[in-house]
Amino acid sequence: MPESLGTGPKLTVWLVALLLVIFLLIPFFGTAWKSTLQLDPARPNSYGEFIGGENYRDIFWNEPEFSTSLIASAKLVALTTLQCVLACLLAALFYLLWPRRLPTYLVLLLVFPLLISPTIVALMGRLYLNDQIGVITKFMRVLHLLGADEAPLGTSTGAWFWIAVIDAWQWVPFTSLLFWLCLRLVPERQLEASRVDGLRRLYLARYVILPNVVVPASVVVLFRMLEALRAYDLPQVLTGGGPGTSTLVTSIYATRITFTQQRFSMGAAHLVIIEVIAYVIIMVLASRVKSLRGVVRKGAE
Amino acid sequence: MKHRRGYSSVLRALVLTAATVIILSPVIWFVLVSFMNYEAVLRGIPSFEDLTLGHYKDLSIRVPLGRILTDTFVLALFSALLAALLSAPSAYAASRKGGRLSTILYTTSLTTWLVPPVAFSLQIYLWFIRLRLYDEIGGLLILYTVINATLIIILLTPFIDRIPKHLDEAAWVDGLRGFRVLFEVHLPALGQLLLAITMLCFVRSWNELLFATVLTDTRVRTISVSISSMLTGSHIDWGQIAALGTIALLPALLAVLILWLIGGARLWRRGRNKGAVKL
Repeated sequence: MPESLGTGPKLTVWLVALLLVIFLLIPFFGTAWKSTLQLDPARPNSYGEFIGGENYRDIFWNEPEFSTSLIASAKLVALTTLQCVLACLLAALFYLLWPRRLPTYLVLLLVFPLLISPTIVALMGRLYLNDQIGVITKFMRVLHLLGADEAPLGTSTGAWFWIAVIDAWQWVPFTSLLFWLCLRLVPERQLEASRVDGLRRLYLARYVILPNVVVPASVVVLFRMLEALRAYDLPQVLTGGGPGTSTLVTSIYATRITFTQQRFSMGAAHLVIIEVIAYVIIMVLASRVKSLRGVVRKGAE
Repeated sequence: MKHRRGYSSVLRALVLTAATVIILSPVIWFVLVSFMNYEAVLRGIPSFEDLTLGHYKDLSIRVPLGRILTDTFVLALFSALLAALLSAPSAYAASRKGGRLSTILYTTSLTTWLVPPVAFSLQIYLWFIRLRLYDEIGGLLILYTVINATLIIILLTPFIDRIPKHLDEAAWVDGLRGFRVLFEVHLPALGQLLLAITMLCFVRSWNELLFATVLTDTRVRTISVSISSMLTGSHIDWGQIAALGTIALLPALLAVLILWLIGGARLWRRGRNKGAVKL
């Protein structure tokens, strides 16, 4: 019956499944295996030997930048959580103003920053924060927020502040759109019923809207956290991990030790650690896949 | 009551204006910088005499603009199209088959999409060197196709869930099998959506930086890599970089335009089809 797909589509599905498995599972185990070998070009005599957990021990004890990069990434993840709070407030505002559908213009506007490459967003950031011709720099100097010999990205605090602002510019609009879609998931009937019952607004928010929204909204937050964990383009182009190592997030640090310094096994150990952290978040997320599908479906409206 | 309505329409206008200013002004200034000479950028307030195409001319001398654009365009276009061809049936299977296959396909796509790409980079880099795909356009094409395919499965499956199953049954009774069900029953319903998602894939491949940096050297150059490498020298020519950045912005602008057209068409169709089967 219609349950069967037919030969053509079935072959395609298998091909895709195979490709996915190749790209998902094999690199993971391959990387995990490499992380137990000695692949440091500085020690050619024992190159390729199996050394077990030594790379992991090295990375935790002899690589101070490793913990720096983990902290930097944790900071970025924390920042996205703050962004989510802001986006939630915006979504609530949108919901109060446009309970049924958002104007097409606004939707396009909210999607637009996300379509721009993070490279270009970071580039704009560097242009506006440039210490000679930057518009924001000039403005800050006029307001005496910045000394004449200082650059906005010159200090660790400054760099973090502007990463937060620029990342928020790119992500908060779209996140608020997602939260608005979550709010739209509240069944019309329940809203209607509470209106008939004359429920006060606060009670409506607490007992009708919140229970319907909390799971899909948590999916959005998890999704943002993962996005922050993979962030590479923005810090790479905006600050290059600096000043010093203050914004050296894991992705940049990992590519640096793996590809720039060619310390493959050390890099591999690091990549495995990143991947395991990501898997933990994904596992929580995957248990909520149903409601993710729901949020995406609402996007059709 | 009337008073409140007036109040909220003022608030709406305010929100729309604020959103427009915050989101668009940095982009507009950036595009303007690419058309202004350096003195005007320093001064801050441009006039008509400052407008120039000089940065674009200088840029085309400094970098192989034609090759960068062809490489990036070919990569983005074909990876998006291939991904759409491959993954539309998979999304269909993930939606229709239900049960374990659906869960596996959907969860695997989701995981592949969400794991930080840097985690795959080492193994893929080593494979590419062994398979002679390093610094070749074909290698990146395969990689982007897989990444895009996962995105299409993630986004398309929920929409296929919404198409009533009796459409499939009707197609079966009419004797349609295999790909023809997809092409003749589902494609008309999902066409615009698939177009929008494919375009999203195009834009994402166009913008990609990490793999393009790691897996290419000199023979393949994408626009993101060019921009990031122009930023590393001691002297940074902001006019030229803004010019290249503006060119790199074009797909995003085009995408917004297409989304806008699709949105308009959907509204129009919804008005016309009131009472018909709602997809």
